[in-house]
Amino acid sequence: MSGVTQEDDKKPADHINLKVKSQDGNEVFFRIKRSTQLKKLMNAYCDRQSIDLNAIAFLFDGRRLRPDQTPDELEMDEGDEIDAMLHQTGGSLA
Amino acid sequence: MPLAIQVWLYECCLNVPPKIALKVENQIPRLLNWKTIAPRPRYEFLMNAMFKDNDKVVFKNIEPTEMKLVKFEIPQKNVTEDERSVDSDDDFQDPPQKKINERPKKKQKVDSSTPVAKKPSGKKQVNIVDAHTQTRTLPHRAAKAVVQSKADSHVEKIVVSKRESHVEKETFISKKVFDAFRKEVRQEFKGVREDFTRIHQLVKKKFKKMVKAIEHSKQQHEDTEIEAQQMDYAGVKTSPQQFSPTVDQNLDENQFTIPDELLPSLNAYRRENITRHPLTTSEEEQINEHFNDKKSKSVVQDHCQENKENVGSSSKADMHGEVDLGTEEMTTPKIQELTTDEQRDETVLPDSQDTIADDLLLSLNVYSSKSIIVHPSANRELQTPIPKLRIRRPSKFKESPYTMKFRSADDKNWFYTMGFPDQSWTDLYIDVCFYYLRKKSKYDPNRSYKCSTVDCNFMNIIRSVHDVYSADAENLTAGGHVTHLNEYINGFRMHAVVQWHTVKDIYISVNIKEQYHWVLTILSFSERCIFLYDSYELSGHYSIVLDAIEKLVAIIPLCLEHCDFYVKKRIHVENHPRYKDKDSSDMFDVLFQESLPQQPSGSLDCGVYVVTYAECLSYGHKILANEFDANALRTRYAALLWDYGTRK
Repeated sequence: MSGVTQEDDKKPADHINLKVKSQDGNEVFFRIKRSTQLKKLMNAYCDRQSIDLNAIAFLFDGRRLRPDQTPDELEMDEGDEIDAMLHQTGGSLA
Repeated sequence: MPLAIQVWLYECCLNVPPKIALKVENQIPRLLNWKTIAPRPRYEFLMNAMFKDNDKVVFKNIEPTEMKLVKFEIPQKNVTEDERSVDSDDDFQDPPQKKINERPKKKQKVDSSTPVAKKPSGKKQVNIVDAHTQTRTLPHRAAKAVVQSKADSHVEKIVVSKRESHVEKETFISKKVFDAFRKEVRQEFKGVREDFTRIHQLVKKKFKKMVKAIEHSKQQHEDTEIEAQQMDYAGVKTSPQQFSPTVDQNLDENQFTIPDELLPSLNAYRRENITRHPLTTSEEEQINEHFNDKKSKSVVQDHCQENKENVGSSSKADMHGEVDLGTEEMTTPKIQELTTDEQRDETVLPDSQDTIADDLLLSLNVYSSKSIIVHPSANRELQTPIPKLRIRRPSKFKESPYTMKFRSADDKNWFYTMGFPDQSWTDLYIDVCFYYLRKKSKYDPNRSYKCSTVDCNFMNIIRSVHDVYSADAENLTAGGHVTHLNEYINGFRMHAVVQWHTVKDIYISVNIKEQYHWVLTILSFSERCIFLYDSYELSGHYSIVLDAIEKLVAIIPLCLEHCDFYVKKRIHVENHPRYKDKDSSDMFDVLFQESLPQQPSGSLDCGVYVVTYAECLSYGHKILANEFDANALRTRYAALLWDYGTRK
C-alpha cells in the first residue's frame, strides 16, 4: 500500500482524489494532499504496478507532470485523471 | 461592415488603395469625405491591398483637427485638463476659489459652444439660445426675491439643501471674473510649468479677496432659498431638452472623431448637459466644507449680482464664449503634453471628487452620472502606461522540457545515455532536441525556411483521437482529445511554439512501438503530404511504420479543417493544386524518402538519426546520402546540451 493513501484525512478539503490511468485502461485511485508533491503519487503508483519510475511518463491534461509539482500548482480538481504512459523509446534492435 | 466603421478604418489606415475607397472631400464630418469605389471588395483583394503584413501598413489614430476642435465641443479633454492644470499642486486649501472661478467658465463654454455647432443650420438656434437664457435668468430673479423675503437660516442644515441652493450659483456667471481668469489661465499655459507657482499666488490672493467679500455679504445671504433653488432647478432642467438636438448632432459626429471614447462619451455628453448644474454645485459643496457654509452662500450672492450683468448681455457673453472656446481648446493639448508625473498624480482628483460627491449627496442619480462623465477621461489618464515590473518565471505548463538541474545522478545518467553508444533514446531526449530545434527556428531571424516541431506526446494524442474517431461513429470531437490537438495547431501547447499556419512544415517524431523504433515525419502543408524519414529499411518494416503513420495522416486533415487552419494558412482548398481534388477527410499522402543515411543494424541509434534528420532539414538543407557518424552525433548533442544546461 502506498504512503499516499495512508495519509491522514483530518482536513478533507485539503485532499483530492486523483485517478491514475494506465495505457491499458487500468485505473488506480489516489488520495493526496493538494500541497504534496506528485513525486509521492508517482512513487506509490510505480511501487504498486512494479514498474520503474523512469519508464513511465505521467501526463495530466496531455502535459507531462514533473515530480516536484503539486496538485495545487496544477490546479487539479477532485477526480482528475492522470495518464501513466510508458516512455516511448526506440533504437531498432530488429 | 457599418459605414461608420469602414470610414473609421479608412481614416486610420494610411494606405487605402484607391480601388477600394477614395477620399474625395475634406469636410468636417469625415464620414462624408469617402467615396467607395469597390462596393464589395473580395477578401483576398483586401488582404493584399490593405493588410499586407510586410510591415508596410501604417495605422494612426484619428486626430481632431483644429477646425474640429472649434466646431465641435470636445469636452472631456478640456474638463479634465482644466481641472488638473488649475488644481494641480494645491491641497485643499486653495482649490475652492479656483473652482468657483473655473466652473462658470466651463458652463459658459458649453452654452456658447452649442450655438456654434448649430450655426450652419441657421436662425432657429438663436431662438433656442434666447429661450434658454431666459429660462435660466428668470428663476434667478425669482430666487433673489425669495432670498430677500425669506429669513430662516438653514445654514447648518445638511448638505442636501445647500447643494440645491448652489444650483443657481454656477449658472450665475460672472463674466468679468471669467475673462480675467481665462486670461490668466492662458498666460499660465504659455509658461506652463514654471508659472505654476504664480497661479498659486494668484489664487491665494483671490481667495483672500473672496473670503472678505464672503464675510461681507454673509448675513444677507444666510437665508438662502430652497424654493428658489427648486424653481431654478426647474429652469435648469429645461435647458437640456433644448440642447438635446444639438447634443445629438454632436454625438453623432463625434463618434467618428473620438472613436475610443465612443461609448462613455455617448452617455457622458448627454448627461453632462443634463446634470451640469447640479454637478458643479456638488463640487462647490466640497468647497463649502472647507470654508464655512455661510461663506459659500455669500459667494452665491456674488455670483447672483454678477450674473445680472451677464444676463443683460447674454448674447454678447455667448459670442465671447464662442471665441474663447477656440483658443481654450487650442491650448489644452499643450498642457497635455506637458503633464508630468506630478500632474499625473493629480488625476486622482476627479475620482476623489466623485466619491465625495457620491457620499454627500442624496440625489444619487444626478451625481452618479457625474462619475460617469469624469471616468472616461480620468480612467484614460490613470491607465497611462506605468510599466509594471514583470516577473519572469516559468509557466506552469509551458516550460522547456530540458529541466536538467545537474544535481542528481539521474541527470548525469541522462547525459550518459544520450552521449554514449548502444543506448536508445527515449522521448525525453527527442523532446528536448525537438524543443531546441523549434526554438531555433522560431527565433532565428535569418532563416527563410520556417518550421516547427511537436513533442512526442503529440502522437499519443493522435492515437487517442484516432481510437475515438474510428470507434465512435467518426466523431472527431468525442472524447475531448481534439482540443489538445487544436492547442498544438494554434500554438498554445508547448514552450517556444508557433502557430502552425505561420510555418511551412511541422516535424513530428513518431514512435513505432512494435518495432521499438523512431521515425521522423514531416507534415508539409503546401504539398498536402507527410514525408517519412526512416533510418532503417527492411522488408516488412515499412508496412508497420505505415500503420502507425496512417493514424496521423487520417487525423491531421480533419483537425486542420476543424480549427480553420486552411483559412489562416490561406490555402484555398478549392483552388490549391494539392487540395482541390481532395475532400477534407481524405488522408494526407505519405511520401517515403529514400537514399537517407541508414543506421547500422542493431545499433539503437534511430533516435539520433531522427534528430539529425530534423536538424539538417530545419536548416533547409538536404540530407545527403553519406553515412552519419552516430557516435559523434551523440557526443555532439550531449555536449551541446550539457554545455547549455550548465550555463542556463
